[in-house]
Amino acid sequence: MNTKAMDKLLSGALDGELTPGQRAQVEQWLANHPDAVAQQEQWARVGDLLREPLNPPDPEMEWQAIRRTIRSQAPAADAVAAETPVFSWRMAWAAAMLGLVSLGLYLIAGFQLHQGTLMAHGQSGAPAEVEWAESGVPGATMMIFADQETGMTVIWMDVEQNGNNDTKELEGS
Amino acid sequence: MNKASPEPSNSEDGYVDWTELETWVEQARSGDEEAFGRVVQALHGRVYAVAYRYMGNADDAREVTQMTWVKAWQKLGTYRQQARFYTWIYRIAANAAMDHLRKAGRRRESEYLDALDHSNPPEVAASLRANQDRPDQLLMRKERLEAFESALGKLKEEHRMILVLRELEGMSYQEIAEVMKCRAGTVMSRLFYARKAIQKELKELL
Repeated sequence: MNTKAMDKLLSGALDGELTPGQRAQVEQWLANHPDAVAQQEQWARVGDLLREPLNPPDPEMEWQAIRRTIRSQAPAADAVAAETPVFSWRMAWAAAMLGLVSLGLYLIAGFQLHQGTLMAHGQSGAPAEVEWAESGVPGATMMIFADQETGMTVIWMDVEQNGNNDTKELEGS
Repeated sequence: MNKASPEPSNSEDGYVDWTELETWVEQARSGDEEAFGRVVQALHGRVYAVAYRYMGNADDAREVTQMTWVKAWQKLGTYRQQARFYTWIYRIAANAAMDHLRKAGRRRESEYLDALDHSNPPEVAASLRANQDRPDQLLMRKERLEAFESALGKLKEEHRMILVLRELEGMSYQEIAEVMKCRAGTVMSRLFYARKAIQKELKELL
């Protein structure tokens, strides 16, 4: 074992933190190295110096000061604790509601714009004016409307054949 | 609990009943301010001693000690009785002291030297008063104490705290490791380096 490793053990021995095997090693080393004994004594004196009596403040007076600090901080801390979540929740709710309203408005506007575009391209299934007429054919209904794109009048007839509806464009003018 | 407790040192009355203290701590945890006051008064001298040896002056030590107890009151809800109370409180004290030192951004060495410029700093004077030595012996003791405090101030923060907890509070390596959040082997190494450094610094004064 080198000197540094042994020095660490000497320090550990002072603190009573060695295993029995390490203790035996240290004892053997100390028996053969008087300088190591002197070193341990010096380290022990470091502890003595640390334990020199101090002049601590009066504990009761200190407690009064600590209590004042605790009490002065308590209402502020309570107020922050009580207010912060409410404030956050209000902000969160406001933001969520605002988001929902914005989304709704956006969707409505988008839908209307989409419908308008479809109408402009004549893709809408809902013509401006529709007339329903008797077709004279049993089980059939007839729809007459003006196609806004072509300007033609379109006649649609639904004819029921074997229980199935069959829609046909009959005539254009 | 009592068996594992370090021997009291530097406390006002020199003795702490740890069983009674745990009862007060439990009462304090349920909001009993008076019980907390009893805990503070029982351990105040010890926490102050650790803070003083770490900070190197009475004003900072007092401030750190007060901060420690205020934080302890605020964090009392997080204290679990499986841990030892003194380990818990010294952990708060160690953090408070290291935070205080870093926030202040002070140079330990110059602070010590400034403090030593005063002929007899209160703590050195208190120590000197405690012994009835001859004048020449008093002078030697004073020189030694001042040199020691200077050497202590030059240690790395972690090394100094570990040395203080070991020598002042008699904590085991494992207990110090819990306070400092490191391994027991690291505690052993740091203690060795701290002792070596002070020995080198003080030379024949030891």
